[in-house]
Amino acid sequence: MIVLDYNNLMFYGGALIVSLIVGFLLKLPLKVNKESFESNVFFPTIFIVLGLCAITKFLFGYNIVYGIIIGIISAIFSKYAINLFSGVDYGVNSHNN
Amino acid sequence: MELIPTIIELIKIIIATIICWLNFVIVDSFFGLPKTPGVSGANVIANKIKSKGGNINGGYFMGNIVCSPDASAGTLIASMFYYVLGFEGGLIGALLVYIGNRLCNDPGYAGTIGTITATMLIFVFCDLLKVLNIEYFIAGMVIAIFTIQGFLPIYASKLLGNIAKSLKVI
Repeated sequence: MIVLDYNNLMFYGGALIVSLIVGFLLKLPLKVNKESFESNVFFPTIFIVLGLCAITKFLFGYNIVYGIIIGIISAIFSKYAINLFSGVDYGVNSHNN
Repeated sequence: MELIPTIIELIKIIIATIICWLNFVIVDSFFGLPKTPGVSGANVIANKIKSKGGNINGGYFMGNIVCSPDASAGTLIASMFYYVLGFEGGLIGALLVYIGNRLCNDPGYAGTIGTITATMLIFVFCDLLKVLNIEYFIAGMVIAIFTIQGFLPIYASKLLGNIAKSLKVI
């Protein structure tokens, strides 16, 4: 059962807001393109923030400082995700042929 | 006398199966799995299904869910993580599914969003309404994948193709 207390909301909400701001400052595109491998401000940043917050909460506990650090890390990860996991447009090419 | 609780459990598993089935088929269809094969393995599976009389778009769908962890695997992982760690386990599941998706040459939208919607559905049915247990979702998802991949795959591909057409994906 999730507990919606003040600290929990600050942890998750703070991390989300910081990640969106840092993603915007890192010039990630605002438009969501379902077919593209390039990251944008919202995807996959939001899911990385939520996952890392949950892992950190189970391992080390939670406070707003951890939230801010996770937000910054998630935005940087999202920016360079295309370099870590490069994608190939196999389906598009085979469809044209 | 022990027959009635068993039947009630079976009915609950079937309800969980239907919820899981609808979740992953709708999310996967919406994010374009029936449109194009993501990798060549999906193309091979689709062509095999088509040569046996099935639908090519349903075949792309089935090939894609074999070749990368999409909303189908996302629903299963969300059920298992929810069982072990609660609601926040579902969030960890979404992160892991995203990494798995990207390793399998998939943009990752279908898998992560399918995991999050599955987590929310499990939260609504298990924690808010308290009508189903989380175990039923794990069993239900295994049965739901079996109905697509194992049990009559040719008819399943035709059904998936029709669903994709009615959702205007293809």
